[in-house]
Amino acid sequence: MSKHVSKPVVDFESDIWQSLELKSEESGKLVVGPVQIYYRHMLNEVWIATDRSQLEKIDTDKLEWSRWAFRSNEIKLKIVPMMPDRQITVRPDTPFRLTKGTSIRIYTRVPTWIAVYAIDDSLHKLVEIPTVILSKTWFGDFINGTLSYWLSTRARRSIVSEMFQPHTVICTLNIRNESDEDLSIEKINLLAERLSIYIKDDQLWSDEMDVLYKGGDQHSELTVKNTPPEYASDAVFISEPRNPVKKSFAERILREINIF
Amino acid sequence: MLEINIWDYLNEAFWKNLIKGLLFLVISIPIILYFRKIIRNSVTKKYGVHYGLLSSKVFYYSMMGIVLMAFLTEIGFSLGPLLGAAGIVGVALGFASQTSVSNIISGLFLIAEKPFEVGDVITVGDLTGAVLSIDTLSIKIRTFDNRFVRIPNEMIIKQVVINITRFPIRRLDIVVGFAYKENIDRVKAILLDIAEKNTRALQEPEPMVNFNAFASSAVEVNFRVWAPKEDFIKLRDEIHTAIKVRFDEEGIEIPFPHVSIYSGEVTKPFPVKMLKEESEVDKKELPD
Repeated sequence: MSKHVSKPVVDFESDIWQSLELKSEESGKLVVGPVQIYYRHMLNEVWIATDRSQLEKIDTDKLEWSRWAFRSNEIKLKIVPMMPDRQITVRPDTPFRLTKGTSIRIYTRVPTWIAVYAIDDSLHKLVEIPTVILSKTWFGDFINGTLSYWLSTRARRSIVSEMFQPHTVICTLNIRNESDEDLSIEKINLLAERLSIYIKDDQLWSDEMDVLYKGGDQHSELTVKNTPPEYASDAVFISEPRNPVKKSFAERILREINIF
Repeated sequence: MLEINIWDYLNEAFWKNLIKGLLFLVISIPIILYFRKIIRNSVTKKYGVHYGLLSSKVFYYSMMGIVLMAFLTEIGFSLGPLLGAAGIVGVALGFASQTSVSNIISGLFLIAEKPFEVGDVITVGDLTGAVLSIDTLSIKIRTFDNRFVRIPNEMIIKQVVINITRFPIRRLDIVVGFAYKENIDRVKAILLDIAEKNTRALQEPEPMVNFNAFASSAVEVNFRVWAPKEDFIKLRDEIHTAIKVRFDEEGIEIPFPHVSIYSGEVTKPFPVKMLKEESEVDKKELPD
């Protein structure tokens, strides 16, 4: 069943994130990183299936199809990137320590999700597909923790071209240790569902984030800047956050969520 | 002698009041039912099924009590003597219905203590199922083979109840046995790799493999993997399957109980020599 969406998605087109005017009886596929999205248009129906096998030739009839019927035969598909649907616990390959008063900027890549919309006379979200199926982890204690995705990162200090992948979102995190002690960074809890996505030359970027650490007995402060990082300052806004941070709500989140 | 004529009571005023009372019931009961539905839906949406059911029941029974009292007053019953009589009858009924009263009180404790909610999966004795409702006298559960089970509240209060779905994550414990000839570190590494490759297994709390026992036929280790509660059944199936497949691939023997007979030396097994072909023996010993 499709979910009717009243709010329009951002009207931006790129080679991957595009609108497809479906012709009658048309079928085809879209490749976004490791996932292939197959579609069929039959009468007033849209069929969608995904494949991750990476095989060149596959029997599409054997795929697990989902189908939706619409009022009109004239249907457009719109493919939009989205951040994952829950928090992400990011673990640097090599844990590091921030001495007091130190600031660093790190970059980490998050595999994007793909939202497939159909547009007839209104907008319907058909399906959301993760480009990479991430394993999960438990963040926090046994009673009050949160289920989140698990990601290992190199926590790069600078942007290098090999980071660019069209199916990943580069997240920029500025961390400042304002406490009187060293800050050991073993895991970072990334509030993915609160981040917007921007695009520049087919590379996706998230909102830049500032984290201020004031000490173990005080709450860390997290600020989502609502802009892409300086490196991609002219990137274009392409996708809204799943759960935008509301000003009155933000403080409560920060109290509840232990950043490190 | 006191003569009571029933027609003195069933006069025109009584019939008028009765019709007014019935009219009151006809109007008020659908309104109560309507509001019960609204309360259940709105509370369920905001606070969950458990509180939705609870609030709708509190509303329904209290409103029905008020409506009943109003109806009786309308048709001319005086509630004072009725309640007095109810007190006397209540004592008598109390002795006769100790079990029911016990269930009602147990039900109140269950609601207050909240060991489980509607929708939770619980184990009571040897029964496991999803809680359908928590009522005045009993709780109702649906077992996974689709049986409807009613358990009196008193039994729930007295027994150990395991709430399987209270917490979002669960641990799968498997005792894995392998032959004595195998390298224990290699087996541990393989098991951890199986957990690592399963996307349902949580990265943290970390999967663990700990030595358990030198059993009669195998070395046993405890393999512990965590998973979100909704993935638990699938994880159990996938991990067990993966262990068998992987052990077969790696040539690791999963032993069954067997006995080796030794002649006293440490390494040499007891020599067994076949003297005749089995078929020849069988042929000789077979009766004509």
